[in-house]
Amino acid sequence: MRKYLLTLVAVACLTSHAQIAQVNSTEPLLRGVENEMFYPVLNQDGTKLLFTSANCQGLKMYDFNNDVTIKISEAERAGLDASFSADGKEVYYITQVQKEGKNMRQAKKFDLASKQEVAISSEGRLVARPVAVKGGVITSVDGRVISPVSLKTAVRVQGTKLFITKNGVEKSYTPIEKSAGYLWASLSPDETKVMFFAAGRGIVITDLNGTIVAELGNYESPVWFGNNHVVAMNAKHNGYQNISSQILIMNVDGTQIQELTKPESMTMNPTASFDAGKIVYNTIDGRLYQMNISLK
Amino acid sequence: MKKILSSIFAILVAVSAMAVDPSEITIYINPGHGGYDSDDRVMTIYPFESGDTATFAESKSNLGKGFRLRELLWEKGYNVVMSRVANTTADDLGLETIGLLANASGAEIFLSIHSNATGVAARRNFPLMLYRGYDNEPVIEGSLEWATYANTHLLTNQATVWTSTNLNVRGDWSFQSSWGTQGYGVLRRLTIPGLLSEGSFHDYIPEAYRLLNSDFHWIEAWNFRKAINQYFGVTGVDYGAIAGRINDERILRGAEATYIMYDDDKLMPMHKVTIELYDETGTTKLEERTTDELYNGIYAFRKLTPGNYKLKFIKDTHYPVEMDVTVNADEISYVNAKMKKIRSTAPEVVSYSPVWQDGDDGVLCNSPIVLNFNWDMDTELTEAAFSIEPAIEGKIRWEDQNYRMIFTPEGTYNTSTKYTVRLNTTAAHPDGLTLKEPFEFSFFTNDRNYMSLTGQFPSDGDQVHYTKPTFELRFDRFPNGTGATGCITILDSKGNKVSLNGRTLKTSNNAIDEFGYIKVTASKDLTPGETYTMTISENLKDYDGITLQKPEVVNFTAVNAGEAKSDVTIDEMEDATIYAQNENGCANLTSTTVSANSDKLFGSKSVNFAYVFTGVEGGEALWTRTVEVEAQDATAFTSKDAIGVHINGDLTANEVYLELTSDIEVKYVKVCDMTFLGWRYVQIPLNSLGEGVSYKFTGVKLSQENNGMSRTGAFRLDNVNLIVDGALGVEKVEIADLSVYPNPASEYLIANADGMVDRIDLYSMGGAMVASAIGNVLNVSEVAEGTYIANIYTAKGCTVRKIVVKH
Repeated sequence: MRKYLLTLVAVACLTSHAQIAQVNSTEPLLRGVENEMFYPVLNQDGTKLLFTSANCQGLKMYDFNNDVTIKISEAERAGLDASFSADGKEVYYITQVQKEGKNMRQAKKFDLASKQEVAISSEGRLVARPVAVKGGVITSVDGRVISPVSLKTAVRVQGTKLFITKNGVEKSYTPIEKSAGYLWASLSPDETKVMFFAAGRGIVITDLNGTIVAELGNYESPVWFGNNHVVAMNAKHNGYQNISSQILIMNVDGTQIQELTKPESMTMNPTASFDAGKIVYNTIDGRLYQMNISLK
Repeated sequence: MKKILSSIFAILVAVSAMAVDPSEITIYINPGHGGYDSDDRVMTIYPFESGDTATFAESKSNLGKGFRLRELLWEKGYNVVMSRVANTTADDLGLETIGLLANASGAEIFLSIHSNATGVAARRNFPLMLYRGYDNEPVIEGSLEWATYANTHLLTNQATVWTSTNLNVRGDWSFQSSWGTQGYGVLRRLTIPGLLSEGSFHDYIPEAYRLLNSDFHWIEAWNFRKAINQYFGVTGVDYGAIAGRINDERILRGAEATYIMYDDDKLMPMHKVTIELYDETGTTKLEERTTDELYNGIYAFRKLTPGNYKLKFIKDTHYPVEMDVTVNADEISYVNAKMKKIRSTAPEVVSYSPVWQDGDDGVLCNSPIVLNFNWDMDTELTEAAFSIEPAIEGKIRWEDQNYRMIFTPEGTYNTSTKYTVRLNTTAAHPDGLTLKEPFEFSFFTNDRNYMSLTGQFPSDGDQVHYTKPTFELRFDRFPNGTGATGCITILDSKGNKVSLNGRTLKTSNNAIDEFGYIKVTASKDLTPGETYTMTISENLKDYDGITLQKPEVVNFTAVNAGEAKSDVTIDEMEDATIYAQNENGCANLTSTTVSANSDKLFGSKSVNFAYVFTGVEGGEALWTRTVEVEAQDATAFTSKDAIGVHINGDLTANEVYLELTSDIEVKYVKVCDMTFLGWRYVQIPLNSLGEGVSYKFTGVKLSQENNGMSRTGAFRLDNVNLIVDGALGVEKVEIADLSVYPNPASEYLIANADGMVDRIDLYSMGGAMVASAIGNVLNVSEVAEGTYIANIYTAKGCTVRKIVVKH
């Protein structure tokens, strides 16, 4: 028993104090250029960054290479579910208008070369967050799935259903039964693991068969940092507003976790580019920061 | 403003004009909080104990409303998604997560259900609706309308008591302006019209009781559905409902209801009332409900065909009430009832106090007169029927829902007096039955109707050492310390208040000596030389509630008892071990202790002499010095000198003496009567000593004063000084710029001052003059080595220095 306890202590120390990454620098982005910047999204190589307003109205893209910000959309809700295509040449998002009391939505894409906006779905009340996949994008409109013909592997969520496409065949799973809903579904870069957030439970990792392989804790807004690490936010609230919020990095097996920012920093909504060793997040008052890290 | 209102109205009309199929609409419901945890808002209300989840918890109440709303919306065909259906910490989702889930659900509108709390004593009760954005400038189109409809319908609830029926529809950026545009977390990520509803105030305690009731949740849910129907232009339901609240007609809430109540909320809500619903003729019973026992009196018939009905409210302890009511489609008909208690027999006094009979001790002179009745009484008629002889003014109050009448005299009864209380037959209960026989009883008062002040410090004209001044009042009974500091007011000559440190307040009685005291220390030092006035309010009470008869006022002056003297110190009182109890000088003594004490005027310590005599008179204590008297150079005095003593008294009035011993006799020189607390400097001329005889300081003696407070105490001594020629009227002065050097001296001793030095006299510690010189230079080359006293005379007077001669 004593040996067992010692092992537990050792694991606890490892989990709570392990250093996963070295923070090399942290710097503000677009300070003095933009008034408020929320919900950032990096492309895979970390050269482009989407961001929006506090209300997710409109969508802008900052190009790190030429230090230029362009307007993608001015539409309502455009900044809520924005993402880059797998090759980084297009931006996906959803716009919304109210018609007779109903919220009508439509998935769209913006071609960064031609600067043209094109609808990729019909208008509907329930349009799923567009998820970039190899060969295109997958979304759904009022339950009708839109995906590229060549789709091999993909993941999306709807309510408390996790939909995993494996070898071109989509199946639904409910890995967590008691949940108010799933959010933030994504594939690992090597397309071997699925990550999603189950409300009331936290971040869940499954294999492509929907089998849970790890639960990382009740953190929000998880994004992949390579195939073996996840960056997420840890926010606490008092029922009315957040009273703390910080950015964490953790091993995908849940054995190690490291605070990248302090709880009182009110930092949230991380996005990450493993290729660039870059994490970008916003503060609660709409400032963007870039953190450069390297794994140990 | 008019333009804005017109625009809002236009939007309201436009939105309400649309009509959609509820089955195409999804409503997202977020019951706020969750899990009885740190971010829940729990109110422990009677009769629940802390930690009992049956008491009010906002998480539970919000969830109850959410369930009722979901049922009502489902009934109408709406789709409903809830952020939680259980009440655990895990269900208490991240605020922005809730908003994102609402967006992802495809919902048309969002509702976060809460109740409000101000956290202050000024309780109130009204709905408050919050949407994201500034006032009248919602971020999401439709939010203002949704919030306005909700507020409007919630205010139709007549089963509650609103303190305001104004609309309170606010943008969260304006309402919580200090949060900037961060706003409420649950609204931040919404991209659909959203509302955080503070449906009512749960810290208005009667509302907290109502929020324990499922029917009350249902009423709020009904009104939310009305607002949702209005927002989407959906027709209402084809049935109606009856709901309301039942209170006793006149009995107030119980003694536990010390919280703020408005209007009918002051009346006791009725428990276990059966409400029977009949058809219009009252012959066919259709349904029945029973109120709970949670102090709310709420009931509801939730689904009734429009038409006329008769309600019967039944409880065996009350007269039944019947009321006609019309039910309209899609409306709640509110019927609030008040029930009158059945009082079937004549009232009578079932017990009373004070109970006294011949031979008993007298009762306290402030005893309240208590009459307990078998019924709750008509307070006005019963008070009119009450009398006491001899007459005395007093106040009457009622307790236990008017079952108990209490008369409290203003001031006190006369001492040793027989009083007779009468209640004549006009005393009645609310049903009109009166007392069958007059009720009468008598009691005899004791011989004490005021608390007496038997000792105090300071007394009028006293001097008080300015640092850490402690004030003590002694009484003939045990004083009640609660509120005592508020009864003692000290002002300086400019009217500035001297605050008292409540944490230093000590109260005690002394069962043996039959007195009690209040002792308290000022928060800050006084100003030496300033005069002060201390007023002791007549409201100061003993534990029986007996007060002082009148206020006491004393004036005193702050002094510095430790001002530097030009004297030679005989004993610095740094070493307590040189004092030992001398049995030969003790009488009627239980115990003494001598110890060093950090409460001092000079150096680092003083010597504390503590004692307990066996009774209140005849006590003597003597502590003998064991070192000084043996020393060859021990300071000696003659009848020309004086001794200065720094003493910290104990307010016992016991007498303190110094023991001075010569070769032929022992003399006790009185220092003072200890009628004071704190430090005081006392200078005693020694002209009572034998002329030409040399004495030494050999001990300290205490002699007990015959009074109730003298049995036990403790006093402290600090520097005891010699004032050479102090008994001759030579003024001892301190000259600031006087320098006497070298010290130790070998050949000459030189004194320099601002003015001319007339003479230097050098005395041995035994009092013998060993050298003298006119002028400021004294030859000490022939003086033996040792310690001496130098008297240096100038035009200002004589200054004393201790000098060491060393060759």
